[in-house]
Amino acid sequence: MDQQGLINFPSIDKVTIILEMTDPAWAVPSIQLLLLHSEHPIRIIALPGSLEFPPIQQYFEKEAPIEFWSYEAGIDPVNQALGTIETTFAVLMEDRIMVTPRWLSSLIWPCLDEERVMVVSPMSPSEQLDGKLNLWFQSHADLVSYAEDHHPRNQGLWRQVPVLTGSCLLFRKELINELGGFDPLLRSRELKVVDWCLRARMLNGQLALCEDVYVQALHSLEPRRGEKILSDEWNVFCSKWGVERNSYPLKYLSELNISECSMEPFISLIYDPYYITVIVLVSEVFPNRLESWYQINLEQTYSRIQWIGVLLGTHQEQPLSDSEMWGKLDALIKVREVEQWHEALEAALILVKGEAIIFINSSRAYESDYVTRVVDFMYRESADVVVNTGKGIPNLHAQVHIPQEPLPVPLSLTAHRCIEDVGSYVKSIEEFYFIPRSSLRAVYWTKGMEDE
Amino acid sequence: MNNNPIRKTTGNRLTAMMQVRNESKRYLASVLHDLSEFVDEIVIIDDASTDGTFELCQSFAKVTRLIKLDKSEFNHEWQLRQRLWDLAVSTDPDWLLAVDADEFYEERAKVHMRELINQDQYDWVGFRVFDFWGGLTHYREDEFWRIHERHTRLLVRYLPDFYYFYPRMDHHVPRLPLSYAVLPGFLAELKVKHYGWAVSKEELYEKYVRYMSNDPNGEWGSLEQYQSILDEHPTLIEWKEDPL
Amino acid sequence: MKYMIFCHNGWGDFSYKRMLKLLPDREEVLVVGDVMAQDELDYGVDSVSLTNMLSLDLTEYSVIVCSPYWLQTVIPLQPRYMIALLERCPNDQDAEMWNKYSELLAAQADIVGTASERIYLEQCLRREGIFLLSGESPLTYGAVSYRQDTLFLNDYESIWFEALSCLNKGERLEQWVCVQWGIRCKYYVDLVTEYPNHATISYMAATYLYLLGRSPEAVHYLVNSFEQMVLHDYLDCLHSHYRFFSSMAAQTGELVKAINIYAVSVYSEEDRLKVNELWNWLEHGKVDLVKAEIFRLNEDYASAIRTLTPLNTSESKSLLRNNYVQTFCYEDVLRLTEESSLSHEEDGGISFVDNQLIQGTVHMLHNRHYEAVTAILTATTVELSALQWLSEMSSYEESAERMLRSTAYEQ
Repeated sequence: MDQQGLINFPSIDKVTIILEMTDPAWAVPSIQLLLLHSEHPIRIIALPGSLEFPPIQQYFEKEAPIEFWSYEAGIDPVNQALGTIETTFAVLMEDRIMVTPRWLSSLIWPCLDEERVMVVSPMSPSEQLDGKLNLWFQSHADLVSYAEDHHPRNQGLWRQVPVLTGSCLLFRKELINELGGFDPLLRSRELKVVDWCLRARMLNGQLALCEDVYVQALHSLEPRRGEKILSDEWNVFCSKWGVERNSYPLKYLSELNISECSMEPFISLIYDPYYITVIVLVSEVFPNRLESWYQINLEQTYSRIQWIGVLLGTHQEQPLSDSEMWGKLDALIKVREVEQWHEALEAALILVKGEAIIFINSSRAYESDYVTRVVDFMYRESADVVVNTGKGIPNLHAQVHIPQEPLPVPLSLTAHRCIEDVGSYVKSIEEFYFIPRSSLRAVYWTKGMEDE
Repeated sequence: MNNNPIRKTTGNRLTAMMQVRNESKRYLASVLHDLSEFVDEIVIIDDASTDGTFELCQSFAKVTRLIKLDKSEFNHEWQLRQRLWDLAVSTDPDWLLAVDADEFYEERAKVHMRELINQDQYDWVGFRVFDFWGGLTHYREDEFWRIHERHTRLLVRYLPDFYYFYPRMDHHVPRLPLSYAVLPGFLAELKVKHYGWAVSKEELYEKYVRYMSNDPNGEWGSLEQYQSILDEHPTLIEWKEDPL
Repeated sequence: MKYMIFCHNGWGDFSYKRMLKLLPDREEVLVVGDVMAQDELDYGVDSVSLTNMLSLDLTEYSVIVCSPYWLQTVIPLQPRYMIALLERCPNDQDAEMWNKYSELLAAQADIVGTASERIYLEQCLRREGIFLLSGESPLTYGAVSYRQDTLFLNDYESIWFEALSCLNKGERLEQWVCVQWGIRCKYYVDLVTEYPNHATISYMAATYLYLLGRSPEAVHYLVNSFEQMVLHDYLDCLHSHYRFFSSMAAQTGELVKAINIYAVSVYSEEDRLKVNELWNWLEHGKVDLVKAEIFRLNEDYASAIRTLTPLNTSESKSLLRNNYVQTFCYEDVLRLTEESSLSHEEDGGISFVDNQLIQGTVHMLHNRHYEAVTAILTATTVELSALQWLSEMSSYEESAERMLRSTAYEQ
């Protein structure tokens, strides 16, 4: 190791950095610091965290080694990104992380020092267990001063830890080959990372903590998606790892005996986005002119849709041609009497192939990204049932509301997963309703205070 | 709706509350007789007595609530105090007088009792308690025996919505909830005669042994005070009953 | 957004210099008075003399006012937004005057910040839009680029930044007020687990839970605090601690309990009459009035005002006016009096004299000296003692003059 603090490496190819972006105000400085302080050539894959995440390409030069991916509803972008890594080393981090000079080579060092090291983390506020360090700096300049003083003094200092939870992890590509990606049943980042690290240990991989590197981590003033651990997710985690449900917080994980865990550690990275069934309910009592309604409302941005139409009544006043009636539908069920709506719906349900059903009625108008947003919402909130009660399309600031008891909700604003005994359907004179089973995770999105 | 003032200036009922343990051979009968003259109701918890104390209490008409514990809680005094308080409060009282089985109020105190409680300016009354020593004619006054120089809170107004609590100690827990200290009180120059120490030398020695075995490290009380129980020549002052 | 800073004792004593780097939508930052050249460079500010400031159009500026003595100068200039930074009374100032006019400053301002948690909590119980400019957390919550560097923001700096951003967009501030309460609450609740026998820490946890509308949880902490006070012999807590339970009961709608608790805590004839009035209202179904009065009696004027504002009876407006008087929202007092033609004598609210004094104060703050004096003299026709207010007015003006002389330089 040379005197000035730079470790001489055998030549390494680029390092891939997968950056999860949650806030443009964080992402921009985070990327800027990555470009500034990474002493090796890097390739950044920037993943937007939501449909509404604004473009930030304009803050960077065209030549900057950054790929801005677009958001896709219903898939885990991190798992997708992990599948594209071709470099020996890669980093998974969130945009809350502000890196420091020579962070990258310091993180790589344990992998060179010990071949079983698979995942490496710096000291930071985002590590919840070993490695947790909260330092306050007024500015980036102060942070750099600290790093330039502290890092060389402790150069190469690293140790093995039983688990990592943080927002900045360097890992070997070969780990992905053997381990795959994050467990899709887990939603909160902390649990996903812990699960991944424990699986790595099942393969005799080691987890390393670099005590010679500190990266700053920003915190959010208000709770963000993926921060809170949901109880059903915690149950899944506990069953999986044989951990007592009451042992939260995670500090007891350090005592876990990995050799007693017998599950298959590999989880495939390959996912297809959700295949969704949209049931289009057209009733003669609904006023819209069908042909134009079909043209507008069935043009959806989401691609993997099975369209099933349910036509109630004879539409004497608006006779339709065959092709008009079909539109984009994959299946069409027609009944002469509106009163037979339940049977028609049952027939439609038999034909469903999607993982979730979204209902649209020809009595309403839907934006072209309605299905995309519903899928996105359902996926992000891990909801079994989604109800749009706001006046319009849900947005980034939509509030989630889970009532004590699920109420009947208009079918035209509802979506639910295809699970057993999900609920029942009823009809009033003018509207169709869905009543979710009470134990389900039914999530209502609202816009401001305009709900119910 | 409740338009009645929470502090009554007339018609206040006075309820005595007492915890007893094997007192039948001592002053209990006299105390209950005495109390019956000036209180409206008496509420008692018998801490697992084995000498007929329970039956003695039962024989007094003004004892309207009487509970006997199967197992003594003497060593968890705050629990005992809490039980007695809950029992007393269940009678929906106006004023409560916390009495020990060996305490007697001087005549003047009994006469002024109603005056003390039929007002709405203060919520408790402190009395001067005198520790009679070795007999019923003299009280003790020396280094560790000066309780009469301050006031002891013995009479309180019950306010249903006030917050009551006892400190969680095993011994020397005050008779009445500590929270009364934040309410205004009246320090009366009225006397209470405590005959608990007005006993023979042998019984004093027994008491000493009992204190020392309950609290050998002086955690709850003062070891020097326990020692002073055995003093050969305590300073004794002749008791003079005040005229009415 | 253009900002203009009005310090109390000149730039040297201004304790929020770093904040100036963190102002959102920062176009221009001017400081009235002398500023060292190096500081101008470091903090990106420009100094402006008082005379020159007066020639600018302040309707384009957000003004940051650090002293109640600037009110008379600043209010008539009608700045776009007024940001008040409140301090404890400095040693060389008259406390009564400083505190009163600081309240008037807070009442005028669109947003208030203070580094003192005591002042912060007092103000939270008086009005909306109050923020704490201090904290203990070493965590970083935001990053703001400033020249070639990136500045990291801690919790209160981030909240203040977001709040000022909302202000600049004309949006409401409540969301950020609640976020701050949440952070303070968590801090104290965590501290209680470490120091369960500390009365003040439990009290703070209770207070923040109460502010967040979580009275059922707040009660447990208040109980603990009350017990600790008594166990440690701090017995003067009947009003501060015990009576607070009545406010919590009012918040959860348990009005019978609230009135009973309040009744336990009062002994004077006047206060007992108030208790009867509360029972009377409750019997007649005037639950909002009961709620509002219980809040007011517990000095939670903000909750009282929130409860009364949507109501429309003369009784409710009279109570609302009382609350405005006690929180120095003088312009609201006058507006309400006029709008509702509230009388002075019958409703037992404010007297004619007080109304005149309030008018006089408002005139004075708007630099309408003649009208101010007229209002006072009118008051003196009813009550000669109102004359002393004239001397208060001139004391205030003298202090303001002294400050102007010492901080602003004439070109």
